Amino acid sequence: MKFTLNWLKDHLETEASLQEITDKLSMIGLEVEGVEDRAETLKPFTVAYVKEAKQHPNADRLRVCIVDTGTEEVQVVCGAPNARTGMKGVFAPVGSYVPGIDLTLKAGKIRGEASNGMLVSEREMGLSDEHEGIIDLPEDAPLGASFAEVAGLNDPVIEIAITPNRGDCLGVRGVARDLVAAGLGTLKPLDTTRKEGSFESPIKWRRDLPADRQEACPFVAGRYFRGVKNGPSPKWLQDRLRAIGLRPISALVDITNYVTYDLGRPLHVFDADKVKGDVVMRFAQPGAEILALDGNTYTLDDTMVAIHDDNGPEGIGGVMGGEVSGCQDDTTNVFLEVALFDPDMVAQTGRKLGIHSDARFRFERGLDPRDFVLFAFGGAGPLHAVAIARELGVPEVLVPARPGLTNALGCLVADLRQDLVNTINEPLATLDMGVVKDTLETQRAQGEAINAAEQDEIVDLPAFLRLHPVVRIELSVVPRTRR
Amino acid sequence: MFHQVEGLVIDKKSHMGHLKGTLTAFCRAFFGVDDLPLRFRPSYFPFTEPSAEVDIGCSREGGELKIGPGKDWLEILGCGMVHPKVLANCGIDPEEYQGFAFGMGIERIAMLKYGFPDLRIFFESDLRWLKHYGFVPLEIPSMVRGM
Repeated sequence: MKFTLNWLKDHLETEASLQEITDKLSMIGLEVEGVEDRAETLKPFTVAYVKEAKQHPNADRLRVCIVDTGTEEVQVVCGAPNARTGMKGVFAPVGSYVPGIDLTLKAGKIRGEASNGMLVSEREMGLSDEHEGIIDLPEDAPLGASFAEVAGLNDPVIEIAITPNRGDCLGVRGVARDLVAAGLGTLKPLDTTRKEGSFESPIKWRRDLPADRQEACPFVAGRYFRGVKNGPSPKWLQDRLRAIGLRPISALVDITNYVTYDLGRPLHVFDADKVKGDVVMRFAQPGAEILALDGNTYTLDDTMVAIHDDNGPEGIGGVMGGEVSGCQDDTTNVFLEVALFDPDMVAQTGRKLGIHSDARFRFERGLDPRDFVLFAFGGAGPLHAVAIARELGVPEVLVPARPGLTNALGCLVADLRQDLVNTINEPLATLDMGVVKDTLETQRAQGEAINAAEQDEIVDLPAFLRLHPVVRIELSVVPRTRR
Repeated sequence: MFHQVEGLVIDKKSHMGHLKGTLTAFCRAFFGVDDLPLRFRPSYFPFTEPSAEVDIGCSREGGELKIGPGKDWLEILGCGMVHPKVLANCGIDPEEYQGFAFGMGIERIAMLKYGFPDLRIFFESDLRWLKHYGFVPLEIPSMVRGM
């Protein structure tokens, strides 16, 4: 999992330095694999103006360029087809180390013409595989300025290893939340203001799953957006995606990728005009074929949930969208899919089809049914969790049944006096709702008694459904300070 | 090829503190550094809960790795409290029994201790190599001679 420092700070309010943040990450189980500070590696490279590019006298494919670096004019021999008079490019001076080709530049002669430095491509900068030509900067790029700054690359990239139990940290916000819990700042509030729709969606979701296999896709929602204009996404968004190694495609696709990495929430957008009828979440027909977004055709079977419209399967649930109903540059109406899938189903589907996708990676590690739930561990877990949740302003607390590390090491001390947790460990299918209701009633009564005795506290009654191999309902009544 | 050694302690009272003490004592004796700092980093293994990875203190100044108190850390092993499910699946009541486990690569820690640059030479059965590093083929390590 990669992210940039500024991206993290979108969610994390902190005074801590990069070093303090990376140290803390390693110590809370999010092992830092590397920090790439490209402002440092790209330091020698600056914006330069190609004053003149003329044909090399002794070579058909080379050009001799007079380059204005802002401080001096130098002659450079360049083989790129797009090198031309009047362009702005990126100049690597003699003595600089060019990361993409692992070479330190020396002054020299190429076919008899002096060459003092280099105009570089993205591949030579180690930024991408792009080697069709040299980097073509916009005309208004300031002469002599640092390339890293102009290209938005002056933001350190942090890479962390995520163990399989930490699906919650497969989004930048999850990482920020964990750092906050470790005392490294405060979590910035996320704007989740609900925007009411102004028209009824012409496409509707339907879940058509057998009664005993509802958990394969317990929830799906959608939203129809009319009259959007697709095209390249804004520069800041492209910069962030590139920084973590993703290739920007178009605004619509980039947004879904961004949300996947920002909030750990995979999304899919359909080109609504290519969807026929309503969309149905159901198990695929054995032998049904689908052309997926990666350009390959996959054969589905009846253990896989697929998204169907009247034309057939349009997406592989939790794994990958379909090519036919995917968004293109000319897409104007889109339908957004937000779904939850059973981690086991997604893992098995992905393994059978041999697809590794960002969506699969997240769904098979278990996505939270609601966003922004705090996971609590430890014998007195709920107490700790509530204490932390109060600090963070997290509205939900989720308590796994097993004790965990934080408590084992005695790191946290709760200041609450009440612990009214009740865990019901039962498969959802056989769960007696009467028992649940009784438990809730009893606990509510207890909680209200506490509430009455202590005026400054309110009683919350959250109920959770945890989407893990064994579906488990956990109920807790916890007193919290009134906000 | 490499070898992994695993340690497992199961009884009624062993806890994380015992795990920490055991590994600290072992690492200090093995590397012969009395004030060797150890760092237990939370991690995840499916068969232990909680789990930790253990780093030992080192310094990498001047391109030379020196084990002991220093600015850097070097990861050498994984450990944790045995997962109750593992005990239950072995027919041991996890309500009554608990314990800890750890594992490390034998060649890896030997390489660190003696400064061997290459792992493959372990398996070449070359007596000259053994002698070069001052070992006799049937030598038994003892606390008196250093481990």
